[in-house]
Amino acid sequence: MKALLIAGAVFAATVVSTGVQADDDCYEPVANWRPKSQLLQYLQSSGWQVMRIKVDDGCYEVEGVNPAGQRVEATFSPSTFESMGQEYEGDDDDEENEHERLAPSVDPQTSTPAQPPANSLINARPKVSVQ
Amino acid sequence: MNQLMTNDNAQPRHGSAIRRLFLMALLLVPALAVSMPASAREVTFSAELKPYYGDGAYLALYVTDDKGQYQGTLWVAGGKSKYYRHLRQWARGSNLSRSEYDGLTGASVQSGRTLNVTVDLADKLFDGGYQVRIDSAVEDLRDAPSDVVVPLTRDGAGTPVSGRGYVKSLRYDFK
Repeated sequence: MKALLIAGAVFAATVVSTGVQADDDCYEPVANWRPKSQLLQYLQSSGWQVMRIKVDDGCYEVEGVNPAGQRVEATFSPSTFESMGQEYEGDDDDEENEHERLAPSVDPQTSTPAQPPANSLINARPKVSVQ
Repeated sequence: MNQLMTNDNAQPRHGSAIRRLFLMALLLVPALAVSMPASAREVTFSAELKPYYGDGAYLALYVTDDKGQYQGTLWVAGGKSKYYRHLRQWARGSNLSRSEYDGLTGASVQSGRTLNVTVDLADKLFDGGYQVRIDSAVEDLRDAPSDVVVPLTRDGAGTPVSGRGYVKSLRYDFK
């Protein structure tokens, strides 16, 4: 019985830890964080062109051009500088964001494909503009 | 013979019934055409943002009932879905289900600008106890759930309502 309970606990711990690993956020104690300037130095020495470093969801988020020449938004652990992931320009999720960064006042209708919403309130894409 | 005569007489009567139906249909078509626009209204929601120091604001424009229960999304401003959870009340109501906002998203809105969203809304939503709300959030700044709440009434059109977060005011106008 005890063995069964231990096995259950181990299984639950595995499931929980898998969930945490799947998360994009960083959970490192602030006391262990290394300064942005060290990350900047590290990235520049690795061939990066860094445009911006900011804190997002507990990680360092870097906007810049990676050594392969791709414009990316990359996430790094604030204590180990381990890469947590990169989003490339042109990623589905990033297309609108790219539009937003380059031309915030342009009508977003022109940048996104018109998709009929599966929404009970409206049956067509709204007309949207920003002044 | 008698039967034949009856049939002969029935033919013209059948023809006049068709004519009558046709005339009724002709009368009904314009009546329907007039009544259809009355079931939906073209409404433009205009949300003006306050001047603040920060990145573009993420906004969710959505409809609730009078108890604040989520009914549906009209528009989400902000390109990255990973930040949508900061639009807290909308996120709770919509469960962040993609089908709730697919095709209804665009760029975030910069400080001081005005977002205009024009939609056809069912007439029954007006004076039916429904509300339009905006949740707003700006990176590295505080989230503002229910930044502004506007009851949907016919008389309320054209009247700006002040927000308590990043939205300076929200108003709606009929076409």
